[in-house]
Amino acid sequence: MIKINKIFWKRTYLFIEYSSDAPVDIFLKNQDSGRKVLLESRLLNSNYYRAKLNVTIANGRDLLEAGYWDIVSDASDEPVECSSCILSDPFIGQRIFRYTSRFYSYTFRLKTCGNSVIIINRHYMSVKKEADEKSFVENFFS
Amino acid sequence: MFNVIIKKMHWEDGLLHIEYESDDNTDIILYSKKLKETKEIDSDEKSGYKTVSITFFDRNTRTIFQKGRWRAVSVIDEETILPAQLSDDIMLNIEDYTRCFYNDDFSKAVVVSPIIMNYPSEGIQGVAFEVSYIIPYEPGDYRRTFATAKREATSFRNFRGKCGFIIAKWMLNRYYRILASLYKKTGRRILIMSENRNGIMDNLEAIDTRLKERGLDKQFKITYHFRNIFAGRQNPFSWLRTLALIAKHDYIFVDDYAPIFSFLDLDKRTVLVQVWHAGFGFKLVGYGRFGIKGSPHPVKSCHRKYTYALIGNDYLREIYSEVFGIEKEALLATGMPRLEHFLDKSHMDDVTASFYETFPELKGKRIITFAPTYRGSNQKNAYYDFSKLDFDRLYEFCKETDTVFIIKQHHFLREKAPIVPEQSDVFYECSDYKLNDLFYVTDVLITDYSSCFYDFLLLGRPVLFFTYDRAVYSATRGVHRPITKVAPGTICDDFDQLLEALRTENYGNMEAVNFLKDKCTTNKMLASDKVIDYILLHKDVQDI
Repeated sequence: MIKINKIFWKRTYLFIEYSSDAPVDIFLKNQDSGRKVLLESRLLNSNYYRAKLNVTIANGRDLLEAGYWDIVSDASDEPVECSSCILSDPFIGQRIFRYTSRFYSYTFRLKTCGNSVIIINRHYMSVKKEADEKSFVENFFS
Repeated sequence: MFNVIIKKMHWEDGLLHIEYESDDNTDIILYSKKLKETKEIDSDEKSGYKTVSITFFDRNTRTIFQKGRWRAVSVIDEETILPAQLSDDIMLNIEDYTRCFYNDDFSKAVVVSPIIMNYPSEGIQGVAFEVSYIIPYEPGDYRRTFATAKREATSFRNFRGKCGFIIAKWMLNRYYRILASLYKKTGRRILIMSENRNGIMDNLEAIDTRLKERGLDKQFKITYHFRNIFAGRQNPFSWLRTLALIAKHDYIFVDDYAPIFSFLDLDKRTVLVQVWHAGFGFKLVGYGRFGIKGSPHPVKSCHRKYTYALIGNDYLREIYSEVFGIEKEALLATGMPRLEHFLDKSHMDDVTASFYETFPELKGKRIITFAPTYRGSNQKNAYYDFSKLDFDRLYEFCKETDTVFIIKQHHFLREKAPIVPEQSDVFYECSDYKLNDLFYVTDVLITDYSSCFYDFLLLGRPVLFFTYDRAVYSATRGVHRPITKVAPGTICDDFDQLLEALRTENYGNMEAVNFLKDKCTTNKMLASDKVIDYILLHKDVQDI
């Protein structure tokens, strides 16, 4: 039985802490391409592991590609279950990296899906023009 | 300077709760310099602290805070505005306070990020909340086109400038590609170059010396090319010449950041080797800074282009894989070539004798060397705040203990240290000296986030870390590892602590963690030989 208990960031590293009865590796699996990215795991204490991934080198010498990512283990391709505290806080796992004078953003967030989460990463860009800002605000909630 | 210090912040959905201390009961307001607008917020009082809550985003009332950079300030009177300061705890984890609020289909988002604002004239840092509106974007291969320039431009002039850059880079790249295709690769041409120094030194010098000692300068044709593009504008011919040299050579050895490689589609037959000068320093560089101020581009940074990069030991592999944004396999743990003769007794004796020939009056005295890194974001605005040292008290202490205090400034700094003539019998500025040469005569090193202590540790002498701005530095520049956990010496947060540590000789735990021990002390083979054998002679080299 594997369960994710904590997801957090430190600089460009995504950390996932999980408990498991037996040693297992965990991966991010792209929902479209099926590509799996292994996270480097280490045992913290009995049955409790911490896995990490540097997203700036997760695709060769490029950023982890944008997309929807399931957290799976090498035991099964089914998404790993998460603890209730992860499922209930919409801001957990959220991260934003700004680049090119803060004009572009490389973002991460979690989406709850049953008892598990999907990691969504996507590039965004800033709205600069005044007219675009107005329509942004007016249409934000529609 | 501050009369408001923010002690705690926490988010409750789109509502940011702030607890702060205020000297004279003044309130926090938000102020936009660009819009010349202020927003007042009602404050409250709770268990000794004042509190404010700012609604940056509210789905129920459909509230979205106005876009812009909103400085948290306190108004003393009509003319005086003071920035609010963040507590060290918040500053050390400032990235965790950014929030992104998405609409239902994630096609729009509002980002609120606390950022550290510099007030250079006052020499202080305050806080601002940056509110941005963002929409999705598909970067593709990140190619820069006129369309991307148009999107990013803030004005027509800005657009024109960006287009100029795109055209210039395209033309230079074409020029390089044509030359690279014309030159036949012989595997015998080496280019030793630097883009931010005017001469050969450190690892490049050690490798070059060893090549000559082994007579390999007859087998390989070695060319040297040095210029400092950060010191001033370079003429166009300098760029053309540099590109021609890069196109011609098979092996390129480069030290430090070399931005020319950022826009080049480097020929696949060219081997680019970064011989990075630093063993381990606390300050974040390269892709360690991705996403924060001064962030590199996701892919178009020269760091991503290295075929190989040298590191001091195996434990540094992870750190430099993060710094350069390259796979661990591309890092060669050879040890630092510049350190391979660092502990040679005859070399130490020669350098020491030469030092005392220049400064005979220092013989027999205890020597403290002060070698901090620079503050500021680059070579042009680099500075060090010497007001953090109390020269008078330090002078008194040095006189009492028969000590001299040598100041070695970072090479980015051009202004001399403020040494008054009456104290010049104790304070010496030796910024023109090689720091590693000064180490031989140094009894105690005082530094901060610089990597220089990595070399000094080899001598087994004490280091003090004078980090008066630890939280601000971590928040603005970033650090790889918490200095409090890794530093092999006492950490002094202010001058009083520094003086006390010197007076009591409390140098703390000098035991260096594994990644601070360079391989040069355990190597049977010279680091430069490993580099030459593996990269140039394609030999199998163990233990790299």
